[in-house]
Amino acid sequence: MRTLIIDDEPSNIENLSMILRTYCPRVQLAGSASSVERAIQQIAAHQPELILLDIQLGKQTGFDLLRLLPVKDFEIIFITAYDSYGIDAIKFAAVDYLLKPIDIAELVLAINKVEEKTATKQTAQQLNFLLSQLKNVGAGPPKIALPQFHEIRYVSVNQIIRCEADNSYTRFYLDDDEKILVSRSLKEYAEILVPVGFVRTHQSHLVNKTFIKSWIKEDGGMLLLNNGIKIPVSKPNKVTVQAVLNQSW
Amino acid sequence: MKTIFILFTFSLLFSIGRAQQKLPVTDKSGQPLNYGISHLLSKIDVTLTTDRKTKSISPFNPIPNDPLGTIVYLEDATSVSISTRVRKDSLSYYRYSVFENDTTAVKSNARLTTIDYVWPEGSDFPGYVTMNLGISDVRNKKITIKIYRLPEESKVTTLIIFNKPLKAAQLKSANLISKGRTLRYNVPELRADMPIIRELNDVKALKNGIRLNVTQKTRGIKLTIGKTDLDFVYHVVLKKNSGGKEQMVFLSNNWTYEGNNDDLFNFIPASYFSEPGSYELIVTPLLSQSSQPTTVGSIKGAISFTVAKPPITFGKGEISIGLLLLLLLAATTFILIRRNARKKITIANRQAEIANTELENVRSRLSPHFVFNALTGIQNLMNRNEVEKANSYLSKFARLTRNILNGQQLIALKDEHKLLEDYLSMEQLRFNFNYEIHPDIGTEELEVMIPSMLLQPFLENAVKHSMSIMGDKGILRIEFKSVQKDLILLVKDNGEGFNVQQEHEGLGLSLCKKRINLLNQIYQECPILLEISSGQRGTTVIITLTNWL
Repeated sequence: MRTLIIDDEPSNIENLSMILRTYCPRVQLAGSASSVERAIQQIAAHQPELILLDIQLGKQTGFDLLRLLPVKDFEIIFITAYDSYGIDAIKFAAVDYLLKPIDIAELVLAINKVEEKTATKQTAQQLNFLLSQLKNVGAGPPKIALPQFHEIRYVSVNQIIRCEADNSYTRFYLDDDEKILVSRSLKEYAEILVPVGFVRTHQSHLVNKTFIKSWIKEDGGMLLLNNGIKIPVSKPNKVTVQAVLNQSW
Repeated sequence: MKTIFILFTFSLLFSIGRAQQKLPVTDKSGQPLNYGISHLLSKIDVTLTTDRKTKSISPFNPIPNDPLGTIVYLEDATSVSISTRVRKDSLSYYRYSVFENDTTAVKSNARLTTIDYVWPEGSDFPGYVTMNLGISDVRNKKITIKIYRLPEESKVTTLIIFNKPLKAAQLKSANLISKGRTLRYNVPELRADMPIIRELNDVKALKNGIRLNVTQKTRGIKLTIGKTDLDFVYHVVLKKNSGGKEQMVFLSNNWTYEGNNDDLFNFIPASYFSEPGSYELIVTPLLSQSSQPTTVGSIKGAISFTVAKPPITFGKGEISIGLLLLLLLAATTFILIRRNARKKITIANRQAEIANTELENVRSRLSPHFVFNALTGIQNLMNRNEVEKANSYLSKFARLTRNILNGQQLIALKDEHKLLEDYLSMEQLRFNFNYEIHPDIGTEELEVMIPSMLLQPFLENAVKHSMSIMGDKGILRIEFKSVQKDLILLVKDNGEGFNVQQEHEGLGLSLCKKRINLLNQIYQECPILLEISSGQRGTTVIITLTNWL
């Protein structure tokens, strides 16, 4: 698999190359670049199948690079510091990313996933979605990518009434009665959806605040949603839920 | 309240009296006087001169609700001369209309055409002309003049010359209005959840000499009079007589016009005659306070009625008042309880806030411990050239650090599990002890959020005091269990233990207890219990998160 490493720090490139050579023998390192311009040349020259892309590239970003590429016929794994710019958007777009310092096990896992990815190539679409999300930060409710078996659904968060854990999967309930099952845990979605107006009411429940109708004192406290559904609130979450309700009402 | 009203009425009458000032018709030499009769706010000066037959003149009376209106009362005048002084060059902008007795339009938006006088250069008003409005015969007439200057067509100055006797009011009906049936009906087409509610009135004629009961249902008296020459002069007066003292309790010239006839309506709310006593109701033109009503004929159509004392037995009214009071009491109690609860919540919130801040403080003091231990561990591996191990160690350290930096108070049990595993595997590299983690709970329960770093200090203690000494003989066991709604976290080691009662417990442990106390202030409904037992065969720490599942 022809692979490019794009990182503005040469030592990082060296480190990553070493790890790849040792642990991912099927990866064929085609080249590397430490700036957006070099990266464009390298991509044109090598037609990589995979790019390991650092978000921070000097004064520019990996997103700037992607914006300059008309065709994105490669897989991508972002590599980023934990509080980097755009990390939330990456999570919303369900694009793969690794945190620095590189955890070798996680890298191997991610590379394997890329290699297995065959039937549906959605990367270009996902990347375009990611870029549009970044452009529209703060303008209207964000959309979230929900990867399915055959496709990726893009759903506006204000369409999501609630999410419910189903073992290690998450079931999304949309306002048009559609249900979407995603093979990621509720915890992961709680992390990205709580900051945009959701509230964790229970270990198995995540609710969009705008769909909450009232608080009812049944079974130690429940939330009644606009569509008549009752959602349990576990005792430890009561404090948070009530604080949230007090804020919005 | 009532006194205020009476005071108000008197001041009103006083002002009517003042306004109805009668002024001389002629000067000392017998020449008729000129009176400027337009309102001070009006920009159009209108002057009136009457003939000598006029018995009295009262200019300068305002017209209610018309800032540019005035009324002139004349008595027995036969002819008048009305003129206005305007600038010669703006003469063509003036228009005026004249109506006789509200029915005949003598002039309609006419221009000023008849010149009375041209003011020469050197006079008081050079460039002005005095124009005559062409009105003379006023015998037994009400003349209404409306005059304006283009383009200000809406700023109309109104002048009423009233030169006829005021007739007695023609009282058509007086009805006592009470609340009647309530109709409720739904209009399905409206698709509204609310029914339409119509409250009907019970109407009863207020006959002379009638005896009334004024109850909660009584709304008031509605009066109807026939068309008059000058509506606002006619007043509804309600006098109350109790113990030989007569007082005016209601006075109003606030007429409304309803339906398609010329009738005038007035309404006396029940509150003005709710007190028992005898009342007299009249409708009369009121021009002056003077005892001799100059223009008013005999007062006809006075209605006397008596308001009875309310019965001592509980009528419906009293019951409803009682219920109302009860309801009020209940509402007050409810509000008080609620306020109290609110107050409690506010206090609780504040306490929670304080607790949170302190928690943050405690948590930040907990972390440095293993940060430096971990760094030392990485250094050891580097020096021993164990690159692979160092890598894995570093990744774990990064994860732990990220979690601390994240600063989140709560963490999913699943993640806590991973962090404990990371931590123990790091320490294992140092001391080579054995550890087991048994998450004996379902996958969904692993999603539950618990306070982060809850077990960490106990693991550190166990590693520091037991595992570091015992090496490969050391066994550290962690269990997650659920008992009904409680989540139980257990840490058990096979070290030598320590005296639980001892006061000088480590900093980590005391911080941990403090933290649990603080957490319990926030999560009052689901307290966290800490149980430590230590003996020769080891130490067991049980943390029970009650009601967390």
